[in-house]
Amino acid sequence: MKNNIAIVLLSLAVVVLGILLLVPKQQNQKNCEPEGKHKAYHEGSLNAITQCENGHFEIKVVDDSLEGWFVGGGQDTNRAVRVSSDKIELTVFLPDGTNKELLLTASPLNLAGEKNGDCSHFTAAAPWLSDIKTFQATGKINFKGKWQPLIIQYPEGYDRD
Amino acid sequence: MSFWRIIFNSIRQHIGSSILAVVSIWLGVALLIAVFSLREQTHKTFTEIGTGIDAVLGPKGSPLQIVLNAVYHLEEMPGKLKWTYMKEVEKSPIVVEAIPFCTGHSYAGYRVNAIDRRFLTDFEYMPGHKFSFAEKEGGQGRPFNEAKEAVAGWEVAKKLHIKLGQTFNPVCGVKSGDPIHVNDFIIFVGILAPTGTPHDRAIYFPLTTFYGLEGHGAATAKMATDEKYREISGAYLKIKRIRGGAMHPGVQDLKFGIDQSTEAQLVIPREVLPRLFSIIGWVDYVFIAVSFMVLALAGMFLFVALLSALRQRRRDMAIMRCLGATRRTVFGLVLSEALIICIIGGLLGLVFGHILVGIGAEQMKAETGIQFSGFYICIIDYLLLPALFVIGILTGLIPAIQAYRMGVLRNLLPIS
Amino acid sequence: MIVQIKDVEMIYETWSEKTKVLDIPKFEVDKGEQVAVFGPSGSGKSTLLHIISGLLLPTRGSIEVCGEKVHELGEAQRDHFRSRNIGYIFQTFNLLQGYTALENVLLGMTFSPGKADRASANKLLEQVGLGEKMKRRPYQLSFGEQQRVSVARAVANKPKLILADEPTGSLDPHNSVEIIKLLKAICKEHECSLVIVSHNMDMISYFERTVDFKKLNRALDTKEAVI
Repeated sequence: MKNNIAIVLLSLAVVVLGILLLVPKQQNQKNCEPEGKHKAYHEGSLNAITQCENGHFEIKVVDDSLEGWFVGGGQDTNRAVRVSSDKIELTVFLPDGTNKELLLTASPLNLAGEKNGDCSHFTAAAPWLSDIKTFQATGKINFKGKWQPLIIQYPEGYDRD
Repeated sequence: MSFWRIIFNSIRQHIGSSILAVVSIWLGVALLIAVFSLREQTHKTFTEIGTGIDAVLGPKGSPLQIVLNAVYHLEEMPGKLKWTYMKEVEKSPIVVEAIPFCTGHSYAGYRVNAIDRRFLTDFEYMPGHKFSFAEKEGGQGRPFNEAKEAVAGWEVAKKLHIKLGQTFNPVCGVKSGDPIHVNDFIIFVGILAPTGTPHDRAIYFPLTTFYGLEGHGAATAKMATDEKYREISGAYLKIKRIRGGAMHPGVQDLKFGIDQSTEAQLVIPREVLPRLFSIIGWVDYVFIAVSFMVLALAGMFLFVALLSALRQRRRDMAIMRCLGATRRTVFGLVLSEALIICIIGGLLGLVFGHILVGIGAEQMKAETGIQFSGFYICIIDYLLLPALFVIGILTGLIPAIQAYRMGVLRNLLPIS
Repeated sequence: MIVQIKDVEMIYETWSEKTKVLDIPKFEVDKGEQVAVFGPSGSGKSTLLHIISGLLLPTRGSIEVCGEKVHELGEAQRDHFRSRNIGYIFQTFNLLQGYTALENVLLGMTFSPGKADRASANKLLEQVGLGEKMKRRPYQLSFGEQQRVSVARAVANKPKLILADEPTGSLDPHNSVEIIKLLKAICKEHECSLVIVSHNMDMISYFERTVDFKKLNRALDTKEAVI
């Protein structure tokens, strides 16, 4: 009887050992972000347009240049959403309490077949951009056929939810 | 008489069960080695092959399908791409060159791909490696120059006994029964030196040949001369490098832009391959689980064999105790027996496992064009000896404890 | 003295009773002496040999063998003591069936200090008349031949004391005599003492010193046998 129990325990131990070696660490290959946080395709900051499910404006600042992409809502942050504007005016609120105006102009993705007035990509340049690490900005955009407020918080991103 | 001699005598006394235990451990270890070796080599080789191609510009559809077709010459492309679109992509400052190709033909079961000549002369199929026709490397002839010329991969040439100057008729399709271009004779002018990649299993001819094959229709024929109408299956892209040899980070922006178009996508093989492994990964795990179970069964068999042998050898153990062997000595004898059987079985399994991989390598190469090696050292090779010790101790411990606790006098035959 | 036993008692206990098997006030064997202890079957003669060899510990009393106080040794120490000092011969030979005659003799040397010496083992087997049958296994030898191997094994580790427990119990009269003579000669040649226990009075007559176990073991007095 004792021998039979020993046999069972032994075989269980070996099988468990095998399984432990087998099972890999589960890798989330798509998105390692914590639940609820969406991944910015260009590694910029995502700013929800009204709400997260509606769409996002991804912002990235490198030196004195700013790039922005209008992308889908929810997890669709790798899908471009075209807007009819060819210019976007932003009021930028700097940490020192001052404001500046920034004009974003359309920079169509040629390979995507975009053009001015049917474009998801915008750029701007200003010398003072290279001096700041954080800012807030507001503007307006005709997004998916409706004028909507544009609220930007850089670099943390904006999501009212 | 040495300690080892006593152990071997003991093994000899129950030689049948000892041999069976050795064989079962041998098989379990061989299976584990074979599975892990092939698994690791597959991952490594597939990944390495994938690194030779920075990106594939392809039509909309499954990225995995595009990688399987463009890199491994499996599957079919999910659609077609405009030549003009490729030219636009080629203008990107981070694209070094774009090499267009058309797939969809075959010969004797091997893929026949139409491709730009630069593929054979400039393209690095793996970092630092270009195709060669040099005889000292196993190649022959030269790249194609004229329309009706072709070059064969090394594996194709070997299997089909292709000689330079020989002609063939390409099949319009990749399935058996697909129509043959009976009036189109393509001449082999070169055989590529072996690369150890799926390119060894393909035949290449010029794009102009592809468009001009009989039966493709006037619209396709026009593509040979008019870029505006020309279509391709895809293009291999070489991306600029930055310091350290990494791909230019702008490739992600390029990918984003292309992916937003309605007609094309950019697929980066090293990003897609992990998904391939996750799809087929469960097969690996089943094999690994089976191997571990075989080994576990072998361990159990050894355990039962040792217990049974101990029952028969109680008297022998008692006599040895009378002659002066301590409890620790008999404990050590039984445990050592288990260890020796495990180690013998394990070492035989190690050799046999590598032989299995070597035999399987030939078959795998024939099927996929990917080179495996029987000499590859996998993780099991490193873990084998410690694992055998553990298994030996686990299986021998209880019989050894029983031997230790055994009473001397009650196991001798009754006397006066 | 090679063996000195004083006030030794051996009591076996079960759930329901205690049985005194041995009660020996004194028993001594001199160096080089050959002693035959005779008594009826089941009288405890084997138990006496087990106690002398250290296979059993007495319930009380002292046992000094080859200068060592055996009753004070731990089990492993007694095993080592036995491997160095004691040669044992059993009634049923107790050879290892999976070993040849030579290997059985070598086994007698294995657990004592020093390397097992094949040449010595060969010589011992020749001495007992089995020089031609070294490679045979026990089942290929007659009973008499098996006991000869047992004798060779017993002296293989150069013991100071040989204990023989009914060595002729499984043999015919002719072989019995041969074995007794062989045993005595080998012990004399190897200068070891011999204690032999038997109920066979014909064999006992070959020994100068004999001990009546009924007189030696007070536990055989029926009043004291069961407590």
